[in-house]
Amino acid sequence: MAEIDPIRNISPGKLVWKRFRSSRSVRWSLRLLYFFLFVALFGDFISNDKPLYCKIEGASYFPVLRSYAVSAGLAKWPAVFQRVDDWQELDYDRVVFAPIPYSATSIDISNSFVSPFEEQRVSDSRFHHLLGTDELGRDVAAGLVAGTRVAILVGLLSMGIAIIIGILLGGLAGFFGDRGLRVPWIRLLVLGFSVFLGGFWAFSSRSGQLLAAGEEGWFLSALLGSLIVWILTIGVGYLLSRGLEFIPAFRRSLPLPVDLMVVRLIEVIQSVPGLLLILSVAAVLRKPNIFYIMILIGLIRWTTIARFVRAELLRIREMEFIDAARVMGFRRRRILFRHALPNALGPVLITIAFGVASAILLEASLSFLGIGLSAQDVTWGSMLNMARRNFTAWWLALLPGIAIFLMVTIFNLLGQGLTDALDSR
Amino acid sequence: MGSYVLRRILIFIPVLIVISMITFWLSEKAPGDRVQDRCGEGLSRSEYNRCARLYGLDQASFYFSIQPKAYPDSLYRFVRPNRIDRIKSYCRQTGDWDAVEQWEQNLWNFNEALSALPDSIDRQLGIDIRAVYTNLQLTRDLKRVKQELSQLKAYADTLGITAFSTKVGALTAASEPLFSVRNSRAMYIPRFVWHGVDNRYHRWFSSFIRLDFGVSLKDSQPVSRKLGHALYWTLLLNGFSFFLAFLIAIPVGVRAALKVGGRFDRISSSLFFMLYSLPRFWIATILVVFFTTSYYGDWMDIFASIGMGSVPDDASWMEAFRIRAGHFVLPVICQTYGLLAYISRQMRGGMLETIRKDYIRTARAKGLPENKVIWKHALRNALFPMITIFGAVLPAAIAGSVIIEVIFSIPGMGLLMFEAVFANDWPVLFAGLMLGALLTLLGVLLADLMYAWADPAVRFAGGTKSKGHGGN
Repeated sequence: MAEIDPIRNISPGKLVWKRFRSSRSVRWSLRLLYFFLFVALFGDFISNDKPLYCKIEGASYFPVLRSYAVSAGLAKWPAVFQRVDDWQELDYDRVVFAPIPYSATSIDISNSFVSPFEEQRVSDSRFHHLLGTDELGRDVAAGLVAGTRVAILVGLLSMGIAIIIGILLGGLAGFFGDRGLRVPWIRLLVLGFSVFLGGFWAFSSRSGQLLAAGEEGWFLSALLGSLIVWILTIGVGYLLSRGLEFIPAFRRSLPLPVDLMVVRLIEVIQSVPGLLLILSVAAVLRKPNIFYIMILIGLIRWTTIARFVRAELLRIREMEFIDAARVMGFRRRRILFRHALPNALGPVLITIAFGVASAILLEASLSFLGIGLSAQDVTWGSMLNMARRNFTAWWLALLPGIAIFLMVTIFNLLGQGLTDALDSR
Repeated sequence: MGSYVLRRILIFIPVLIVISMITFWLSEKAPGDRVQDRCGEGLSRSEYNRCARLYGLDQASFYFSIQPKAYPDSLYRFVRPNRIDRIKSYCRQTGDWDAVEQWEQNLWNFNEALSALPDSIDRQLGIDIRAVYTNLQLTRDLKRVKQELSQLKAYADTLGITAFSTKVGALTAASEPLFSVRNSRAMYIPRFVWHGVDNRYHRWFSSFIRLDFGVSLKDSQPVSRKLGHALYWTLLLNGFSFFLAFLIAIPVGVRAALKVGGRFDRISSSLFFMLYSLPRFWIATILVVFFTTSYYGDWMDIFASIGMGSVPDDASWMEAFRIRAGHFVLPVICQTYGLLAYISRQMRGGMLETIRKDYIRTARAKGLPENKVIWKHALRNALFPMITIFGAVLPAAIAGSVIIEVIFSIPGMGLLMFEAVFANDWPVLFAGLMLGALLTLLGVLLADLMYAWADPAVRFAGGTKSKGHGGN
């Protein structure tokens, strides 16, 4: 990397960060990103059909906060609030509504497709739909807030999955190649068997539980249970094989062609057009859920990260400091995770930034097509789709699109900024 | 070269097979009853069985299966998804196939006892008894089975027909083992069952290779004809867009490389970068919303509306072209602009690398005019790697055209598959998925082979330098 300032002795990481921050587009992107993160995190206090604070018959309530407690099962709604259709109609002594006094899903059928500048049928100018409404009279501003949350979640969840798989597989493939990973044959055998058996127990034996969970709507937690069963079995297999390796006859080691396997897997996944695959999977799933789509995106998009990590490690593993670490007798795992991978981090961060942009874009296009959304979900893509039903609703065509554009551009600019900051030439 | 081609093709085949397995597995998970999809609902039992046999739906799904020991080894013979689910569920709960088989046999044959009932019985009672039978078939809950059976016995007592009561008694007796046997361990013991080549995957894949994709469930047309028709439009759209994108992006990339950091370089790269960040479906929506109607001003109704337009039968060739082209302008623009950034950036990089080479210096040293050096010597060599770009952007283009086709109602592959999703038209959907993967694989293969053929370094080195395909 770049030369280190001899006087102040800044670490390379700090130097890159400094150079990264020095670009104006990066600074603005970061500011916008913080803003989006803020909106996603505190969305319930920015747009909500319930008041933030209200006083009824002398008693004070905080309905938004209480709704958290209610959904967590810790509290119940007081009698005044039970069976409330329209929070605006209640008889308040004092009331403070959120800046946007609507939820993304609250339907206001008397204000279908109203423009921001049009006369609206609302009781008070406080309840004016600032950015207009869609076909069902759902507030566009509230929808934008809800969409921010979905977009940030896509970035976190999809890319989180992609990063974990991509760095692990790409790292193994690049660091060990086809001959570098030599494993005692007994460990290969026992681990292979426990992967099979664990998979069988996780998915075949538990198929009843998984099916029942799918019908009752907690499929994801049942799936997590299955994964835990699988991992535990593999763990037991690993311990068993470590025990068996005390017997000398079992110790002869064989090379495991990790690189070949990972590269073939990447090739298979990249050959299937991702959008078509998600389209097909969404058609097969009986209960659409936006989280399935996010997980699927993660399971498809790890290949780009893996390819970059692999290429970086192919370069790094030939460098002298790795040899030095070997000579010092460090274990392979330590060399890979403490020495090789951290040095590959820079270029990988670039792919991650671009990856987040393309994952958000993919999710937006899917919800634009209405794939994998349940009826209540409001995302930027689904709002944009509404514009196709009514060509006169220009606010629906423009606003969600601008939001998607901003979000995608932020991450593209950050990726670009990282590329420039890391470029030592 | 020969060995490289051979090796490349040898990789292509297993990848295709793995993809076909994934696709087939997905198609197996699709909801609904395949026999009813094919032959319609309300079939009698014999019609149902005949239909299943005709289309091979009574065969195993794969060459082998690995299943819990609690399940019978030829579960697929029961064909009906509802029946298979029921058997699996009871096997899971009891762990004893013998007990479940006995019950299943009796339950299945109880249908005859029902049809043997005389017409003279009380109408309401007949309806109630049939309802109990339906419930027995639908429930997966053993407690519920017990309740329904006692209900049935009560009805039989009211009815007072001895033959029927005996049948009910036999059914109840057959259910007894279900409640007593418990062998939960059987679910955790895997068993390997070999089914041979008479299986649905084998049948599906071999007909896929023969380009026979079955018939659409929506209109009973052969899927191959529908896909072929759709493929024409998709290829036309993407062919135009690729041509246009290369035509614009390559000169821009070359010029940007000649003066790196110059004004042209900066402006073109930030312009293309912005275009790249503009979501295609947003721009497409905006173009449709604002520029195909006169709502926002008379002059804004510039472009033909969505769809491919209708060409009158007696229209001349020129006339037909004019109508079609008018409808094609917006989709091609939308499909093209996103490709520009990627292609021009690659071209710029390739060109930068090339002009540093020794032979360019030689060309300049021997006094060739700069134009000739750049456009003849440098460009030709910098263009080779561009071939692989084709393989990189092809998957994205195929996927991207789904949205463009949906927005502009172009009857291509994307729109066909999109409609198949909502119509549960499985043969079309999964054949489309396979075809999309096959096209991608072929595109990448072709690009790699062309690259190997064009670049002597690869040709003589036996192809070890082949670049991976990338992009997003």
